[in-house]
Amino acid sequence: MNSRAQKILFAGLLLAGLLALAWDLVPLPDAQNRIANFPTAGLGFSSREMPLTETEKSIYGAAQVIKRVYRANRQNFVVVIIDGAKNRHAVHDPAYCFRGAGWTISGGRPLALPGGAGKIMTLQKGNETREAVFWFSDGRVRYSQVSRCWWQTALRRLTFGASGPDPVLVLVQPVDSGSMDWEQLPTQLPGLFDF
Amino acid sequence: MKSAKQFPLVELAILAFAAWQSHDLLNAWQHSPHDRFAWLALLVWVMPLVIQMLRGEKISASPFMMGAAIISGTLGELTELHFFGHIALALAFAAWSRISWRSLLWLAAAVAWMPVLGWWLANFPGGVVLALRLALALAGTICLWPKIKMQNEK
Repeated sequence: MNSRAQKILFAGLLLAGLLALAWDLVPLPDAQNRIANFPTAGLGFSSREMPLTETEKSIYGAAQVIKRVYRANRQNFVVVIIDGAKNRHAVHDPAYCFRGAGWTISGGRPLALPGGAGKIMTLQKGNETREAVFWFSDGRVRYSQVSRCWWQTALRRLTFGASGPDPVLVLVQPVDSGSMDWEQLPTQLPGLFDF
Repeated sequence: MKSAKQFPLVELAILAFAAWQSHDLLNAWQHSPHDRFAWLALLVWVMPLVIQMLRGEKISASPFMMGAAIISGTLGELTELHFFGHIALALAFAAWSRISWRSLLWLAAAVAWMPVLGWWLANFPGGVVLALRLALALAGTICLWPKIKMQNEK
């Protein structure tokens, strides 16, 4: 490589560093205003906060996370909401985490939700079978395609948040049983679809 | 292959930049069931370059590949998508090989050590994914092997 090419590449490397610095200095709008409206109790449901484990804390980092156990219609279920505006890597394919915890994803089917659809995953570990549902929400649209979330968040970062609101990951898992009546979720906990 | 006339400080700085953008690989290779031991695929994939070095061949990095590595690494930094960082690392390595259809195939085989392959093959057991990774990395290495041999014979 000649010295001129080296100078151009060095300038490119410096520019890359400056761009990274500039992007770090501009805070990205998060979804906290939307999530703050998610009720902890209401007509027919109640909840309690669940502390994050040390592993979860290290994975989520600066991301803002809500983890609560809700009780509605005699069903207990955990709701996890992850706002990855401050740590995009906290929002990832939930199947990845389940596999990491030793579960096998034996099936999946869509779940119609207000503003789109989520995905019900069937999980297996030994003889145990469980279900969990997840979706990404930008406040208007709900979807379960991980790649769509990636590009949406990437575009947000490139445009300093001008391309649209922050998509949050919502994950719901039953506590007492392997499954629950997922179709009733919007009726049981309507606040889950307000953000 | 062009002979290097000066110490490739900038090229090594770009390689270090790309490696930094890919430092998440260490975590993925340790903890993700579908990426565990994928570093073995990187070792197999990078072997042609190691052999070039061991043979004492004077090599010069392609400025185009290095430029592409900077662009991809910057995209990875700005979008916080690790995938672009991994592409940057592959490009920064591939820059040390002369561009040809063989080297491009070898470059494409770099996906063998990337977590994205584990994500695509998530429905397969971890052992099968690792075997596929190694087979793909080996195929890429074989692609580049005759080129190295020919260069050495010249």
